[in-house]
Amino acid sequence: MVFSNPYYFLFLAGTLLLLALPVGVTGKKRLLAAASCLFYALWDYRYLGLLLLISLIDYVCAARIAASDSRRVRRAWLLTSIVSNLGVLGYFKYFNFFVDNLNGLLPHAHSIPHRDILLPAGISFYTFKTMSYVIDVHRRELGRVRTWMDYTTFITFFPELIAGPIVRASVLLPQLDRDIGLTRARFATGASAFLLGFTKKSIADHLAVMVDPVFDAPEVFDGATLAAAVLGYSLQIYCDFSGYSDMAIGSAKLIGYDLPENFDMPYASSSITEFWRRWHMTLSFWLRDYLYISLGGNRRGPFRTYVNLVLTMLLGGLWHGASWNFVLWGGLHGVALALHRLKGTRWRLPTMAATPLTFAFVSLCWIPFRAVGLDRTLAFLSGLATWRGGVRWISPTLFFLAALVVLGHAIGRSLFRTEGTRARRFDRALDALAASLDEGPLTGPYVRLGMGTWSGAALVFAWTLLAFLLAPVSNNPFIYFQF
Amino acid sequence: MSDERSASSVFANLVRRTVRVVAALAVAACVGESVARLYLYEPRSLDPEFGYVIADGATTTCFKEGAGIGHWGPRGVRRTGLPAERGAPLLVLGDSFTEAVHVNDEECYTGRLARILAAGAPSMRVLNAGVAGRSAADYVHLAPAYTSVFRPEWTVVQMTSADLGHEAFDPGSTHFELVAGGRLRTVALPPAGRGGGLRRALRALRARSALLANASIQIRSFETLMTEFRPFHQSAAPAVRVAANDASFPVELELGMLREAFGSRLTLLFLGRYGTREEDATELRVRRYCAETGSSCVFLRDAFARFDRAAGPPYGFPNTGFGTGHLNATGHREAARLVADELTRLARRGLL
Repeated sequence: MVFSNPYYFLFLAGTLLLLALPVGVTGKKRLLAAASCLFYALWDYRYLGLLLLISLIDYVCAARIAASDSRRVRRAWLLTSIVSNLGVLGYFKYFNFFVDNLNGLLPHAHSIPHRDILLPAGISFYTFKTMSYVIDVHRRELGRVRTWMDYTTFITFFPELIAGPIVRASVLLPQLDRDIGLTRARFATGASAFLLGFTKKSIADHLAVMVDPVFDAPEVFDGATLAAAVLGYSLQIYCDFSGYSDMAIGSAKLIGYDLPENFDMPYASSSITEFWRRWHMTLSFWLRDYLYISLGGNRRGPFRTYVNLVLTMLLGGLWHGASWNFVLWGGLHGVALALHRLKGTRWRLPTMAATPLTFAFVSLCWIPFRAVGLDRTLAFLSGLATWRGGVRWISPTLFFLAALVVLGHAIGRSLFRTEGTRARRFDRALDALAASLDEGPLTGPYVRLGMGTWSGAALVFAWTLLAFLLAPVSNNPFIYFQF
Repeated sequence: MSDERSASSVFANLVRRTVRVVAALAVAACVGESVARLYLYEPRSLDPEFGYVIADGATTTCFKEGAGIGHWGPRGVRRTGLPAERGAPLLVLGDSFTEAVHVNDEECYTGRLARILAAGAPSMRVLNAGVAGRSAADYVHLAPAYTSVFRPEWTVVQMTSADLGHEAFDPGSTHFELVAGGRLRTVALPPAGRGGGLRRALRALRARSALLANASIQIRSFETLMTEFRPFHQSAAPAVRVAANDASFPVELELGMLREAFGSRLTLLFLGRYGTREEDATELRVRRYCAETGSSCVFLRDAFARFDRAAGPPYGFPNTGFGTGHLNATGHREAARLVADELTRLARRGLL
C-alpha cells in the first residue's frame, strides 16, 4: 500500500483507533503487530510467512547468543542468523542475476534456467534490520528482547517495513515499553512530517513523468533533454525517498514511536563524504557499522581503508538491486570516497564551488542507477557528452519544481533546529514568524505546524489543500519499494 | 459567580477558536483558488443552446497538461490570435483536442489554420467551437443550433475513436440510441445538465471556480485509484484494461447522421492513436466509409511519418507523458496543415 493511497489513510486511522483502546501497553503492542502483519499481507499474503519465519529464526539465534558465554557457540549462532538472512535475500533477490552471469560463461547447452521469483516487498530492509539486532546482541551492545511478540512488533512495524528507514533494534526496542497511541503533541509533529512527505512525493511523481521517457529511450532525445533529465531524476529520487521517509517517520510519530531521520539535505553537501553522512543515513550508518568496520575500517592502514571503502560501496550498490548498473554506481561512489580520503585536507575548495561540484558528481552517478542496463547507460552518457540532436522534451515545470526544492532546503536550513542548539542568524525574525504560526517556538527536527493562531491554521489548511489539489493521482510506487 | 465566569470564558474561547478556524479556512480557500487558477482554469458559463462552454471574455490557463493560455469570445468560440479575420465562416467542432487549453491560441490547430487561410486561399475565418467532453452524438444533436448561430460555409469535425465509440453512447451525456429498424436517434441532456436545483447550482459554481473544478477532478481520480486496489494481491500484475469493443458500435450510421446533419458540407479530422502505429478497428471503418462515400476526411496518421526524431510525437507533453494525451504543438501544426490542404483541395473542386 503506497502511503499516498487513500486506503493507507484509512488503514492508519483504523490503527490509531485501535491503539486508543484501553488494553494496556502489551495489548497495544499486540494490536500494532497484528496491524503491521495485515499491512504486509495486503501486499501479498503469501510472503507474510517468510517475514515471520525470519523474525523467529533471528529471535532464537539472539536468544541463544545471549544465553551463552562460549565464543564458539555465540559465533555459531551469529553465523546461523547471517547465513539464513543473506541466504533468503540472496535467493529472492539475486538468484536470477547470478544465473544470468553464470550462463554468460557456460556453454548454451548447459544454461541454467531462470526461476519465476517474486521479490518480497521490503526484504532488503527487514533483513538488514533483523541482522543488526543479532549482531548487536553478539557484540553485547544490546540485550536480547524479552518475547517473540516484542520482536515481531519491532520487525513488522509497518511505517518503515517496506522501504525504511532501516531502524536498528537499539533505536526501536527501548521504545516498545511506551504507552502508544495518538496524542495532541504526536498529532502535531506526526501530521506535519506526513504532510511534508506527501508534498515531496507529489513533486517526485510530477518529475517522474518528465524523466521516465528520457531514461527509457535516451537515444531519442537531444543533449539538453538528457541534461534536464539528470537534474530531474536527482530531484525525483531525493523527493521520492525522503518523502517516503518523512511519511514513515510521521506515521510512526502518530503512533508514538520516534524513527531516525534518513536524510539531512544531502544536496547541500560540499564533499562526497559529507553526502554519505546526509543521504539515506540509516543505510549508510548500517554499512559503516556492520560491514566497513567488520572489514577492518580504517584500522589497517590507508590502502586497506580505501579497499574497504570501495568494497563497502560496491556491496551497498548491489544491495539496491541485482544489476551491474547498481554495482557500477556503488563503485563510483566508493572510488570517490577513497579519493576524497586520500586527498585529505589538500586542495580544499570553497563551499560555493564544492557544493555544486558534489551535486554534479552525484547527479551523474544517478545515470547508471536509473538507466535500465549498461547499454542504455552508455547511450545516455554518449548523448550527453556529444550533446547530440534529437527530440527536445523539457518542461518549464522542471525548473519550477527545482526552485521549489531549493527554496524548501533554504527554509529548512533556517527553520529546523533541535532544542538546545545555539540560535543561528535570523532567529529573531524566525521566532517572530514562529510566534505568528504557533503558540510556542519551533522545536524538533521538523516544523510543527501549529493551529494555535489563525495564520498557523491558515498555513496548515492551505498546505493540505494544495497538496491534495496538485498531487498526481496514481499508484506510482516509491522508487525504493523495488529494492 | 466563578461558575458563570468560567462558563462564559469557555464560550468565549469556543467563539474565538471558531472564528480562527473560519478565518483560516477562508484564507486557505483564497490561496487554493489563486493557485488552482494558475494550474488549470476553464471558467464556463451556461449557453442556452450549447450547454456549458468557456465563458465569453475568459482567459484559460492550463499548466497541468502542457502549458497553455487561451482566450475565448462569445458562444464558446476560441480566439485565433489574429487581429482581424475575414471570409466565410469555417466552423470547427471537436472535444478537448480542439478546445485545446493545453496550448496557446496561436499554437492550436485552429489558430494555425486561420493564419494559413489568411495568407492564401480559400479565404475563411475560423470559428473554434470545440468543447471538452463532446462526442459524435453532441455534434448531431446540436447541428441545427450550430448552423443557425454560426451559419458556416463549411464545418470541420474533429473525432477520435472514443467519440464514435463508448463516449457517443454514454447515458450520462447526450448520446445515441439504437431504435427499431436499425436506426440511431439522439437522446439529449438539457444544457444545464441533469438533476435538481442544488445539483445545477453546484455545477454552476464548479464551472466558475478553479478550486472546485480541480478538487472534483482529484476526487474522481482518487475514486478510480481506489477501485484499482487489490487487497492481498497487490504484487500481482495490474489487470489490463480492455478497450471498448470498437466493432460493436454502429460507426457508419453515426457518420451518416453527421453528414446529414451538416448537409455534407463537412470535413472529418480523425486523430488516430500514435503508440500502436496501427489503425484501430474504428479508424479502419472510418477510412473505409470516407472512401466509399467520397466524404471529405483527413487522418492525422497520414502525417505520422513526419514525426521524426527532431519533431517528436504529436501527442503528449513533458509534464504528462510522451506520446499520450492531448495534441501538442507538433500535433496541432500537422493537423492544421492537413486540414488546410484538404480545404484547398475542396476549393479547387469548387466546393468552397
